[in-house]
Amino acid sequence: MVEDDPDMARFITRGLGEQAYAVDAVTTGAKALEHAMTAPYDAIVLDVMIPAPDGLEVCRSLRREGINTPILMLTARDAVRDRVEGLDAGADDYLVKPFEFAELLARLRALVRRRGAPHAARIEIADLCIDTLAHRVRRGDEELTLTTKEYALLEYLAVNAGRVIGREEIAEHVWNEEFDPFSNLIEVYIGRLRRIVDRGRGPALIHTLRGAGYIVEVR
Amino acid sequence: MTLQSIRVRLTAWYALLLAIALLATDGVTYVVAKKQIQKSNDAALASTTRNFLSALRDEIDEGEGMLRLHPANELLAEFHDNGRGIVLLLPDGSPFAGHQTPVARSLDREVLRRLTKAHQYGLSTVSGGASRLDLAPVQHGAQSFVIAVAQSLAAQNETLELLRTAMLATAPIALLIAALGGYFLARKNLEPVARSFAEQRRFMADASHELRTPVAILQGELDVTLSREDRNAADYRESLEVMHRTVRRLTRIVRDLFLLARSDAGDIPVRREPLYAGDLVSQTARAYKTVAAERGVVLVADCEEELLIDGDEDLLQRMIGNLLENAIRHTEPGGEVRLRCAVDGNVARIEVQDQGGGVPSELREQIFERFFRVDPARTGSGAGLGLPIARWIAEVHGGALWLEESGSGGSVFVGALPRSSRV
Repeated sequence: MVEDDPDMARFITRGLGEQAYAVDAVTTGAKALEHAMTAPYDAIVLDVMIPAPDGLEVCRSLRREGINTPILMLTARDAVRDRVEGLDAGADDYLVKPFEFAELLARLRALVRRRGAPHAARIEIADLCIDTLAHRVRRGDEELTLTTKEYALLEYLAVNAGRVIGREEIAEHVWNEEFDPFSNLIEVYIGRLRRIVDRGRGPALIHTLRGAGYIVEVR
Repeated sequence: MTLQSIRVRLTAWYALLLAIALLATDGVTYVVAKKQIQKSNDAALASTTRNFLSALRDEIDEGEGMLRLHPANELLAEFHDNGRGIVLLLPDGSPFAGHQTPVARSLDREVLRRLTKAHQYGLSTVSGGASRLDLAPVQHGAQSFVIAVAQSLAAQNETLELLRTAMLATAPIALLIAALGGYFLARKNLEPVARSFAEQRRFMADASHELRTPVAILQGELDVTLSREDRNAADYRESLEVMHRTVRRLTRIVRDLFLLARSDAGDIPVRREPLYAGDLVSQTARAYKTVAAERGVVLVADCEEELLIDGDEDLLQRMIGNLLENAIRHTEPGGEVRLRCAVDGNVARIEVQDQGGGVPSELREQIFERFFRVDPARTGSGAGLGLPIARWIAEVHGGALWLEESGSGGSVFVGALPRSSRV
C-alpha cells in the first residue's frame, strides 16, 4: 500500500489487516518501486499523489519492467481525463477519494480473483467449508473460530489446495515484511490450525512435507 | 445555464438588435428618399404650372383678351411631354382644350369637374396614385380658366420600387452581418465571463481535491472502526483522535476557502483601527507556541514597541499566523523560527524567518498562487491557501507581502503594512 498521508495509510493498513491481508505500507514512489520489484505482491494499492516518482510514474515503470501485479489506484482527482490517464498508465482499477472501505475491499478482491486462479467465494475441501467473503470457516456442522492471521493462513493453503506451499511463500503472502524469517511463527500457526481444523474432526487435511513445506489435501 | 447557452442567447439578442437597427435604417432611408422624390416632383410640377400659366397669359394677351382654341392647342402641344398631361378647363369644370397625352387621357373628367367646382386648387394625387395633379385658376382680362397639370408618377414609383427591391435584396446580407456581428459581440463580451468561469471551475476542482483526502480519511476511519464490535477503548480513542485531527484539517480548509471566495466577491469588511504591531506579533506568537513546540521548533518573537498600524486585528493575526504556520512546517525539529517587526520609513515590516530548505527561485511567485505547493505530495500540510490569504490580507491593508530571500539556510517572508497616520 503506497500512501503518504499518515492518516490515510493508517486506516487502509488497519482495515486490510483486519480482513486478513498482509500489508506492507510505504510512503514514496521510490520505496514502492523497490518493494514491488522485489516481492511478489497479490495487489498494490497506489495513491497517485505521492512523493516522486508519482503513482502514474510508478505504474508505468512497473509495467515496463514486466511486473503485472494488479494495481488499484487511489486519487483525489475525479475528472475523466485523470481516470483515463491512470488506467492508461497501467492501473487495473481506479478509486476516487472519498470511498467506502467496503468498496476498496470488493475491488481488491476482484483484482486478486481476476489475477490468480479463480478465487471462489466458497472453498470446500472434504467437509471443510470456507466462506471467503464473510471469513467464516465450518467443518462439518460446526463453525470454527479463527483469529485473522489463522484465517489468512488457512485460506491461503486452501486456495492453493493440492500444491505444496513453502515457508517463504507463506511468509510473503500471509505475513508482511516485518516477518522474521528465523522465527518459528509459521510452525506455531500451522500447529494451531491443526488443533482447530483437524484434531478429532475426521480426516486430517493439513499435512507437513519435511523440508518442502505444507499442503492441504484429502489423503 | 451553461456558458454555451448564454453565448447562444446573447448572440441571438445582439443579432436581433442589430437586425432591428439595420432594418430601421433601411426604413428611414426609404421614407426620406420617398419624401425627397415627391418634393422635387411637386416642385417640378409647380414650375410647369407657373410656366404654362405665364405662356397662357401671353397667349391671351396676343389674342387681345381672348383665347381661341387653336392657339390654345398649340400652346398645349408646346408643353407636350409623355409623362405629362395638361387640360384647360372652364370655370364650371368642363374641358376647354387638352392635349391627348396618356396622362391627360387617364384623368377622370368627373374628378376634375368636382375639384374645379369646389375650388380645390393646388396639389393632389389622382388616378389611384398614378398621377400628381396641380390645379390652378387663371384669370386674365375677361378670360377665366382653370388649368389642370398632371404629372405621371410612373417614374417616381419605379424609382421607389427599385429602392424597395434593392433593400429587400440586401436585407438578408444585413441580417447575416447582424448575426455575425452578434456572434462576435457576444464572444467579445463573454470573454471575461468565460475566463472567470474557467477560473471558478479550476478553483472548484482544486477545492474539491483538497476536501477529498480529509473526507476520505473520515469515511475510511469510520468504516474500518465500525466494521468490528470487539474493539477496546484505546482503539476507539485512537480513531477519534484521527477523526478529530482530520475534522480540524477540514474546518481549516473550509474556512480558508470561504474567506477566499468572499474576498473574491469583495464581501469582507476590513476594519481600520489603530493597533500596536507589538501586541499583534506577541499575541500571534503566543497562539503558535504550541504548534511550534509540537514540531520541536523554537519560536522567537521580537518587536519594536510603539509601532502603530491601522488595520483589522483578526485578519492581521491571520496573516502573521499563516506565515508562522508555513515557517514552522518547513523548519526541521530543533530549528528556529523568528518573527520580527521593525519600522522602515512609513512602513511597518513584519518578517518571518524559517530554517527550511528554501523555495526554488523559479517558484518564488507561484507559491502565492492558490493551491500551489512546492511539493504536491505533501498532503498532510496546508491546502496551499495560507500564503495567498496572507498576501491578500496585506494587500487589502494597502500593503504588500513577498518572499524576500530564500536559500538552503531558510526563507524570509516580509509583510509590509502602512504605519498609522496617528502618531
